[in-house]
Amino acid sequence: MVVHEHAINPRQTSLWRRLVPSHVSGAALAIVGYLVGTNITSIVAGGTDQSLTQSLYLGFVGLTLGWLIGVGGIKLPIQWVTGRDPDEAEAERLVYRDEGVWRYFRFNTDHKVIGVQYLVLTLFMLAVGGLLAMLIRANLMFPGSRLVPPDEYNTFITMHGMLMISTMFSIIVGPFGNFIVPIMIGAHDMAFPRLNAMSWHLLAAGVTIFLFIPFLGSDQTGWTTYAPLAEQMQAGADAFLFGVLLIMLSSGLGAINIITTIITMRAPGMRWTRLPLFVWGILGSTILTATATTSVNADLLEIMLDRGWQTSFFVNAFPSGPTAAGGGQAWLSEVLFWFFGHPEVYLIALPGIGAMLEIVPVFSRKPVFIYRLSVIGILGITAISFLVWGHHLFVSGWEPQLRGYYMGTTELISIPTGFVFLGIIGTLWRGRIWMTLPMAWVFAFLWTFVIGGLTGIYLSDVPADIQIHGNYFVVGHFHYVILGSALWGFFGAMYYWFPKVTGRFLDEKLGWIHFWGVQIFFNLTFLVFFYLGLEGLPRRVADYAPKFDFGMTLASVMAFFLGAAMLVFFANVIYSWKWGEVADANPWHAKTLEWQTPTPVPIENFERVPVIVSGPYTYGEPEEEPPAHPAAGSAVGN
Amino acid sequence: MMRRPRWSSDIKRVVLIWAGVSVILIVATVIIPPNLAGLSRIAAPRAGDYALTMVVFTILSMPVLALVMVFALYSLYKGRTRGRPLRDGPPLRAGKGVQIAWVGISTLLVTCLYAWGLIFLNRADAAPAPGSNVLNIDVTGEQWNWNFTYPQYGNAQSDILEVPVNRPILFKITSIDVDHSFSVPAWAMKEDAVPGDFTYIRVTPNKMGNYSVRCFELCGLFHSYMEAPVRVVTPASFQSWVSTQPTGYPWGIGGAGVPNTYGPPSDVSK
Repeated sequence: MVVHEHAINPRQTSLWRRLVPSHVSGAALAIVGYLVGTNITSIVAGGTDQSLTQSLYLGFVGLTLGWLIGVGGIKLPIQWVTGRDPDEAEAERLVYRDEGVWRYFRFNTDHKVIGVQYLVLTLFMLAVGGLLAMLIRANLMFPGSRLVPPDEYNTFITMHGMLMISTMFSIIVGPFGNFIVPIMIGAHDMAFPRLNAMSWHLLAAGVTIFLFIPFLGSDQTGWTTYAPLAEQMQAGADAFLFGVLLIMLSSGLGAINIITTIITMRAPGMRWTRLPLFVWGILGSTILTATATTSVNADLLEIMLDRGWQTSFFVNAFPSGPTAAGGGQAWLSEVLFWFFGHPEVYLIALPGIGAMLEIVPVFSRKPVFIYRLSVIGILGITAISFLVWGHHLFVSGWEPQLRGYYMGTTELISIPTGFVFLGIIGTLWRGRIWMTLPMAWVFAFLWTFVIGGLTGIYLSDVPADIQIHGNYFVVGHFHYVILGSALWGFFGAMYYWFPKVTGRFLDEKLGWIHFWGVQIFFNLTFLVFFYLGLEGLPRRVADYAPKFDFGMTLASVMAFFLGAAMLVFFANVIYSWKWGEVADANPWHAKTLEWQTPTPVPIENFERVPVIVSGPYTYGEPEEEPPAHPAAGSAVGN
Repeated sequence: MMRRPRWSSDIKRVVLIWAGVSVILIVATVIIPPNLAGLSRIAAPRAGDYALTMVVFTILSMPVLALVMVFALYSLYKGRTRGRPLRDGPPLRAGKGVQIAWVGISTLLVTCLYAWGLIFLNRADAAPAPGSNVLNIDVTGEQWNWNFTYPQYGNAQSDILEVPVNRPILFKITSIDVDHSFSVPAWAMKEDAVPGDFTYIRVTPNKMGNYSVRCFELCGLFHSYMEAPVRVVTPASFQSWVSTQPTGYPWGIGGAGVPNTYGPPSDVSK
């Protein structure tokens, strides 16, 4: 998108122009759409018999359409389909360059604005998911204590699980994949800027619908939403299914955008062998997102059809329906889900791994120890993650002959994962370690992810899994791997790139309190889960036998402290955004392209397209010139 | 510039620290606790195999954990600067030796783990010798309790799982509503109960006593309470008990109101 200097928007001072189209008008039309949708059949067909489920789905469709129309996002695909692509002035208007803070409340196609929108939305999702975790632990504090009835508790764990998973796969790709990656590869924006804005707005709609769950009834399935249990559920399950479908669609569209950008929009000289490792991590993750989400979308749609239109994908007979077998099978739901679910957890891990590999050379002042094996590690994880999903089904009774094969592939994937560790440890070895907050999270990653990975080895062994499947050992394992890679990766990325996004540092004192608080209390909360699992405590239980009470009470109390440490982080973000210490353009003296631009980053990122002449990790090597021509005007020297 | 003599002694030091930390970790997690979290509760051979696997895997895992943390923390200790480093570090890249060693050792470890898993999987699944007196028990899970039927004893039905010691058992499991998971942790045994299909698992309890069945797949409101008592008794005691149970209730196998469009006859030995 070439920007002409003279195509500047006139100052938009009228209130109407500010509110329409914006998130305000979007929310208003979303409410209208929801009401129309839930009532449309009675309006059109005059009050005929209609199940609550069908009208809810139509209501959600109305909500989403109303939202997208209200923010002005629907107009663009229609223009594109009918051949009336917007001209440059129109495209320029969609960046709202003169509007200050208000431009973040619009359908804005600038990838930097979308990155910030993602940051705010994913932090909100993280906060809500964390609050649910506190409710879960409060309920589990003592045996027999039931702060809420079991169905509400089961709803909490369902919501916590899916919301946190959705947060984890968006929390690095959304903010930093959008903001940083195009700059890092020397591009001026993403390949499809309007699709990029659409992805964020779909995510916002999906999360909103997801949060309807507690108001519509309980949803007790767990995040895996197995049928036929999912089909017994109250209307909360409909909000879950539709909301998650929108979230997955949003991710899939965003993934296509990022893949296209990375493949086609690299600056001249940015060969694949010079691509920063963060970009490789994002690429692996988005490849998985684009392909795997189709499976869960099918699963969710089929459950919706079973619920709303009495199909029989997953049940083979209905008590009050046809007496002949419907031909469905419960295993289908598990298989469809986990075909997505396993690549899902790797697409969660890879951006964090990429961020860690990106941070470690900057703060060891050394090149990455083995760039090629690190890339092979990322790509190996990406490829093999499609072959291992059966390990979630070891005790399901589905095709027992295949268990040996899945055990093999699952153990195999630990080999490329090991290459990542070699890359990080080798870069640390003999480095000149600058112990900043981003670097601290690298050490946290090493400890947490190695424990998570090793406990995964136990789970990959089928005879051992037969005992520890479905109990607290698994819960400990996945919290270690997910938080270790995605959440610590996010924190590292936050402390690292916050000065580029906002021009200010996150406060150091609060940052170290956050770091140590999270590390100490996370381990004290979750290490005991392995013990509880070996003792035989099933997962997803609202109540438990008294013999488990020491471990459970300890975990609950430590979890509350962990929550407090996270509150410190949220306070730090809010405070530092406005009042943090001002940062210059390259405070870490890094060599990747985003640090060669001024802060705040200009709207086209670079005045002239940069030409790359070397890789981004040339620390310690004698060099004649910095990695990129100083094409960005005020590039800061190293 | 590489100051090789100074740093090669560092490598020796790191390796020694690594070895020491590994030993300490192994001792701490495997040997010191007299009852390592349920591993002493062994009431069937497959539970003994499971406990052995857990111990061996822990012995193999601790050096890996120690490798990562010792190298990382030692590098931090040795290389830490005050504030921003004024010079860059040495531009080290992995030589062929390190790459081959890393890839080779990790592949070797994975191969060994895989072989171990296959061996023990076959042991757990092995059908007993033909002619051994296999006890067939049909398990039906429902929201939210378990029912047990003994087809060889006239479909005797019970809410309590009572079995004789030292006799191989073949469980045939199903559900009449949603997914459940039938597990007796003391036997290291678990298999899902799937509506509309049958699943199977074998065990030979070799220790008398009282245990419990727990459900391990979230199945709704009272999933946390879906338990059943297990009693492992002498064969004579079992015989007299089963003959006093109500008979003729073939739950989950064409019983009243339960669709049976799947499944071979109940005395299959698979």
